[in-house]
Amino acid sequence: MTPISPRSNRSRQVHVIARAVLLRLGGLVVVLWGTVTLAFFALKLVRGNPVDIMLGTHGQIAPSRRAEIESDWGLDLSWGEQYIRYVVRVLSGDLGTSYQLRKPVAQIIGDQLVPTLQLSATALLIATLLVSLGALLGRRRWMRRVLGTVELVAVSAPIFWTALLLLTVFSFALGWFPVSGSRGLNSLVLPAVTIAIPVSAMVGQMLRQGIERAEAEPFIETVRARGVGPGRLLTHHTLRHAANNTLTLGAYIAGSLVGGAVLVETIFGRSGLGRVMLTAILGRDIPVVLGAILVIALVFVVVNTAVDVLSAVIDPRLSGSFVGASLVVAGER
Amino acid sequence: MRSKSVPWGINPSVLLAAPFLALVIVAALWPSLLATADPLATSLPEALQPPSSEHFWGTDQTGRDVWSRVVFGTRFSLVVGCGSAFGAALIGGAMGISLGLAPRWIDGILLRAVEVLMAFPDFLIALIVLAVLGSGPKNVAIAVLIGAVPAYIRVARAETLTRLQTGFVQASTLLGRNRWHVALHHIVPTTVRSLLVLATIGVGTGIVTAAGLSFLGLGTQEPAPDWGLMLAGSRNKLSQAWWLALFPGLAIIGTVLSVSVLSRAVQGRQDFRGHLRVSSRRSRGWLHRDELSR
Repeated sequence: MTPISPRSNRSRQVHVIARAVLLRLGGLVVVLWGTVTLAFFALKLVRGNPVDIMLGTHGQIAPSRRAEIESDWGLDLSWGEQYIRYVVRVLSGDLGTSYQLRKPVAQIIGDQLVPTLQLSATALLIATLLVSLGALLGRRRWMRRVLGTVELVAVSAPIFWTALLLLTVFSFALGWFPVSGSRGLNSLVLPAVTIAIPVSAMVGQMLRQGIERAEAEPFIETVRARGVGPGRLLTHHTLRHAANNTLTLGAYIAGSLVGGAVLVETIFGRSGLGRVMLTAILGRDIPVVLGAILVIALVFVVVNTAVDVLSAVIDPRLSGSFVGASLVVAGER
Repeated sequence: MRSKSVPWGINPSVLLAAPFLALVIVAALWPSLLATADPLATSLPEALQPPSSEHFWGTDQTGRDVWSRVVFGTRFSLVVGCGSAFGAALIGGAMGISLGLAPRWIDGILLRAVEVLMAFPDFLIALIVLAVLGSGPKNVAIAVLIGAVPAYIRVARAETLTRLQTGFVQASTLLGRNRWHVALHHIVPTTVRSLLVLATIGVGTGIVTAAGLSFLGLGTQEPAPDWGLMLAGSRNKLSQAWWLALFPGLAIIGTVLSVSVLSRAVQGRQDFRGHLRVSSRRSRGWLHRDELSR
């Protein structure tokens, strides 16, 4: 891709970064718009008349009243008109009204965002601790073998199964944590640990690969020859080299947690964005599904953009070429 | 990425994984060979029995044999896992290669669309697809497949772009070969090979995603035996019957683990150009194995 210039002067570097940030922001808007468009038309294919969905199974109404409802909700317009209306409304911050709850979608999602963010943040915190622990333990070769196996098992275990096992042991057998609910810190522990296990395993794998790759580089020999011990080697040299891909993966995961916790939220009976989305999907409550998709995409792109910029700070070699995450793939070679 | 690969016969994990996978395949093809009871036969007096010599994975709420249900559930999981992974590799591969070969502006626009899809975890895409299609086992398979496609598009496109830069492709272009010749003879074979290896890893992901969807009640319906559904059924009995949750889960983990151990072993033996190397112990991993998870 873009040639790497180690000695570009400062002002040019700033210029390059500013341009890249602008490009990223532009890309961000495009991705969000694309998400809304794709989701809007995909969800138009959902079977069932929206009015029937609003009425539920017991609803029987006169055709005139039905037409009235359709025109109230703008459902009598063509898809194109409905789409333009929707985009305009979204731009003014209005995500529409739920078919089933008859509440503004923005409010429904807003209510659920706090427990979701709590869960994601706690899970990420635990995962960070686990990954750091793994990196520290992994300084010895035999320990790496052990860690590798543990990580492989942790990655392979379906998250809902881990959740069930943790529930069996810690809630039913030992009684340490509540079985379900989303009140209090105590109810946060098991779901967060459940999410943290596969996340830390995935990120840990990536980090260790990065560290091993960095250790194979010639400059590490030089550092070793200077008498630097394994601990300092890790914290001052190899970690920085490995940090980049790890961070990118971490951001991907962090961004996907917001909507990806559906299973965990369901098992532990927590409220949250994933759960709302599942309920909406099952009830064909399309405005809510659309709103949730938009918010999930927003969180995802914001987190990933932030990390892309951050990784250019960590690894100066990237600062000329961090226009897209795809470059990370190309940069592998 | 560099991995230390050990030749087939010596690696203990391969020695464990291969027989296990063979067993899983037998269970998928001829379940009645392994099952000890009818997976649908209920027997209320025998409900919720712990593992014993007669029911060695215990029985569920209605007295059905857990072992036999796990055995009979294998086929669906394996079919969805393999079908979604290889189907997605095929579709995603074709789309990715075309994207890589397309004029830059088309590539640029469509790449954005792929990025939109990449913004969602596989599971969420599958969930949205199910919202459109409605639930049911067949739709779960389709949903899992669609959820997996974006990752393959991305890899195939990246592979294509890299291949276009290689010496032999440029030489071929210089020799006056047209685009189609280059694509068919140089780009497609190498890219397909790498996608196939990637797809073997995707089999595990597909199995887990499908089980998750069944777990939510969107796939197979009772009383059919299904791993995800069995785990869902165990939720209400966790305090009394640990075996209901443990064994179907072990079946999933075991299958996923053995698939990924074996595919990594194959991947480790694969040379840069895709030929199997027998003599060399050092391998050059050319594809990031975490590519799938991003």
